[in-house]
Amino acid sequence: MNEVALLLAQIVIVIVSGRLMAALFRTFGQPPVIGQIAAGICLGPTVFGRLAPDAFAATFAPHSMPTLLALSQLGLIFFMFLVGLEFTPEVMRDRRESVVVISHAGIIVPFVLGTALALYLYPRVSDRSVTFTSFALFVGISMSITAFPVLARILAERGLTQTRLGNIVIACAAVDDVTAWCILAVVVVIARATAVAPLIVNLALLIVYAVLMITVVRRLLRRLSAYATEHASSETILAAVVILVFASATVTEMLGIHALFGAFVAGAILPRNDKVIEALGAHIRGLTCVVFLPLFFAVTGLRTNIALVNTAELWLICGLILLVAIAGKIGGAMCSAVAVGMSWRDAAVIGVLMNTRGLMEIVVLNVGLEIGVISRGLFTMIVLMAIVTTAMTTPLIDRLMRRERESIVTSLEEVPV
Amino acid sequence: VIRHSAMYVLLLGFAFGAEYSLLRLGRDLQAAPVVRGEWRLRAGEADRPCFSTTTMSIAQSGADVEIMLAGAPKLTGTIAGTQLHATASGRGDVAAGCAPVAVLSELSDRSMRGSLQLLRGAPIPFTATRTTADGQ
Repeated sequence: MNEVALLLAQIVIVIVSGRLMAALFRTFGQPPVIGQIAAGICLGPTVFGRLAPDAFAATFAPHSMPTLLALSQLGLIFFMFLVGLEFTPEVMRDRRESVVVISHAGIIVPFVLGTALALYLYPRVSDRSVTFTSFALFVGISMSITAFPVLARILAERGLTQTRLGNIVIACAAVDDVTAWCILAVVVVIARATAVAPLIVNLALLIVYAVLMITVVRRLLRRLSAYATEHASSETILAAVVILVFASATVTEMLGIHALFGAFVAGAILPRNDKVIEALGAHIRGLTCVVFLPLFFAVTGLRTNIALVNTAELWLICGLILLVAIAGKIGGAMCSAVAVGMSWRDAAVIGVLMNTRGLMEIVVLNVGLEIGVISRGLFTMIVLMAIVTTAMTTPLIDRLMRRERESIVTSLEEVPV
Repeated sequence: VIRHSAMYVLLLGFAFGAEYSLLRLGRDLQAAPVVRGEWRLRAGEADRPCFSTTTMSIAQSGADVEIMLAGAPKLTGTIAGTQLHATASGRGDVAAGCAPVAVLSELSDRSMRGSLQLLRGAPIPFTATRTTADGQ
């Protein structure tokens, strides 16, 4: 099979298996992202490679991987742009102080616990090509992630988006996302730096880049948007948005951060409440979610090999990672929510929802593997943690919010037709 | 606002203090040496008729390694300190009796010295030097 035919066959296999698994997991009340991640793992060395090694080697031949990887990276860049685009600071208009405290406690506690866990993990699952500082900071950030898109979807599916609690959780997750990506950018700069001087230069450049984007470029975009809405065609605007995304991603990659951070910032600074840009976002979202993201899940699955977790000690480490991730995230968000005056039940709901790792964790892990901070064994263990923490959210939230949903249904029934 | 600000300052103080202490605590920790990559093997002349492989490829994940030798089953094992120990993970094609079923080796900077245990016969001493850069 020639290379183009092989790539097209890979895309078909990946999309079909992803959709089937997403549908299967939906029947168990799980978000589709769990099915998509599971499909990726099934297509990788863990299942397909073990059951039919020859067919696996022919389907995902090593020489075809660079193209698949490039396409998945392209999809991730668009996905991060969409994540940035979905960030609306207006969600914080109510109880801003509480939201910041809860959100940042939900990052700081798992981050510190993750760094403490790294003391145990480093001699066991890392090697000397990685410094302890880079390793520990990365383990810390991988414990601190919340998947805003999955969380928003869980709330929307349960009709909780417009409730007071739903609003607070959405705001916390949005702040969590932005903060976590900023911390990740710093961690990547530290991990990639070979000496102290370039590290300081890169961190300074990161700050200059962020300030320039938020002030100058944002203002420029606002003016351009007003002009383009009246004078330019939607294709021209789409081209301009795509150029902005790739230019920003290129700059951050050159600064030693990561292309994904640039795409995220590009999305975050685009003018809001603009119908043309919202429509373009919808177009990009469709193609990204249907075609590119499944490719990313497949690449993740090809990198995940559960056979690497092959001893009792490694399974113990896997359990420890899961325990620290859950205790840190739920504990941190829950205790801080109680401290700012919320009830224990509401605090528990916030903690459980913030514990959803989903796709964002997978994105962060792939960044870690690409820059060589984590080994494939640790990558696999944290992928398993991401699956478990995402899968446990829906049943726990249904249990915790039964009363709240009943009150929503009752209040809707009371509205006269 | 004052209450929230005080909580936030406490939170940040805890974060920076804890991170600083933990990173200081871990800076002397040692991880496994890097062995992944391609290695050139040198065995004694007397062993050549039985063992002819001259290259060895190692995949590494933390302290766990997979060793690939041409025509031999894959060897899996771990690094403990500067000692690498790996054994055959499957039967594979070992009927010839010359296929290695275990490696025990002492690691140094870019070389290793150890012995290959074959299915039959005495262990073959070898030395190996890395032919690829660290981490490649």
